[in-house]
Amino acid sequence: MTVHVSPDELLSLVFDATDLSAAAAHHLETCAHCRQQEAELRLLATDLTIARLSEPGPAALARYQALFAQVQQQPAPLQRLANRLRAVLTWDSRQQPLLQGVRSGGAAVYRQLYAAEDVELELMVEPAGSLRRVEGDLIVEMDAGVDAPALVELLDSHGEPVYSVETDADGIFRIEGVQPGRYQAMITRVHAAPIEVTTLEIV
Amino acid sequence: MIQLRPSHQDEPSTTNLVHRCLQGDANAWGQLVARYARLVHAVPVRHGLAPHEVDDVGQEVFLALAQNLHTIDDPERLPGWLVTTARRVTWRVIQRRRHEESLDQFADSGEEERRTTLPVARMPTPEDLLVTWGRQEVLTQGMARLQPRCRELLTRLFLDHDEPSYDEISAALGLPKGSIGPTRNRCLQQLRTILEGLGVGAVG
Ligand SMILES: [Zn+2]
Repeated sequence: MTVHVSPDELLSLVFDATDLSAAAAHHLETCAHCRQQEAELRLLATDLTIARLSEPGPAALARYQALFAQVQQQPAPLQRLANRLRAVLTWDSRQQPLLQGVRSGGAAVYRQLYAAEDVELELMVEPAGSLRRVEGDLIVEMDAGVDAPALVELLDSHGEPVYSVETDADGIFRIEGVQPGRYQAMITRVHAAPIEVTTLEIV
Repeated sequence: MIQLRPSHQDEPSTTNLVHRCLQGDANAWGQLVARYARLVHAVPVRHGLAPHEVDDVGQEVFLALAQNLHTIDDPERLPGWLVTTARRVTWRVIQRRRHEESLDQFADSGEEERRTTLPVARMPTPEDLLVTWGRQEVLTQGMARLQPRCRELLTRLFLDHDEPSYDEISAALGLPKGSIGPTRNRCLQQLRTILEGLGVGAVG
């Protein structure tokens, strides 16, 4: 008959890092039920840690509450997040008759170029079954010499991210398995204003 | 989409609070901050940021919220907006820190830092963060349903920033030091049962 590791032993293992007895440790290795119990306890321990670390102190709360009055007095967006650049479509290979030859399985590979003030976004959309692979290159014209990755997100109509990927330091990224559809893109940069593409049609 | 319900029925809805903020009601803003600060903080915490960085993220997210309240179409989606914004701000903090660390090769996070940050294997996805938010919300509800004595003990043991010792807890709760461990275990089991009843607990 199987004797499971007792709840108290599992609790001590997870919450006090107490070693199990040799027999209990051996049982845990071979028993899916007990391992599941252990995993759930570890998740609970993590949840409790997140809760403790997330509890805002009174000073932080007071600062957040004071922001309202500051913004009321000075409504102009001061920080970069609000100050986004809008990139617009400036070139599309599908509008170039000579470039329409590349086809595979009904859908065609196409390229697009979006531009904002100091930055260009080059996209290549390639069919992969019923889904699409999106490859991109973020090209900063006046590179200040700081190579840093950017965060690229494709958002749904509610502005919630559906796909999210980090570029490399040169601005190259790839998103696999994208459902065709209409998205917005948001590109968060470390040292510069975020870039927004309000309509990005993946066909 | 996560729906954060007010914990008491007589608390105003998020939509109501946002509308009052737009009319300049600082009191409503205070309630909005109180309702969401812990959940905004959970995003940088989940990314393993240190306490002062967590506060910086909170500051930037609530500033962005104060400036963009009028652009939020559906206030009941505010949790999603906050998590998305917090994730971007957090991402920037991490990138800046990486850049600074690459300049300072001997940087070592001290014992204090290790104790107050969550170990993180990879950057959480937006879905991970929504799962975290959902679990935190249910944990709060579960704690509220515990017997008062259990709630008090678990709060002191696990949720107190000051991380009081067993001696301090023993004195505060009038509980013999030797029975804190067994009582804690009983209370954790009780919490697990409640959380399972609320639909959380299973791994997955
Ligand atoms: Zn077992």
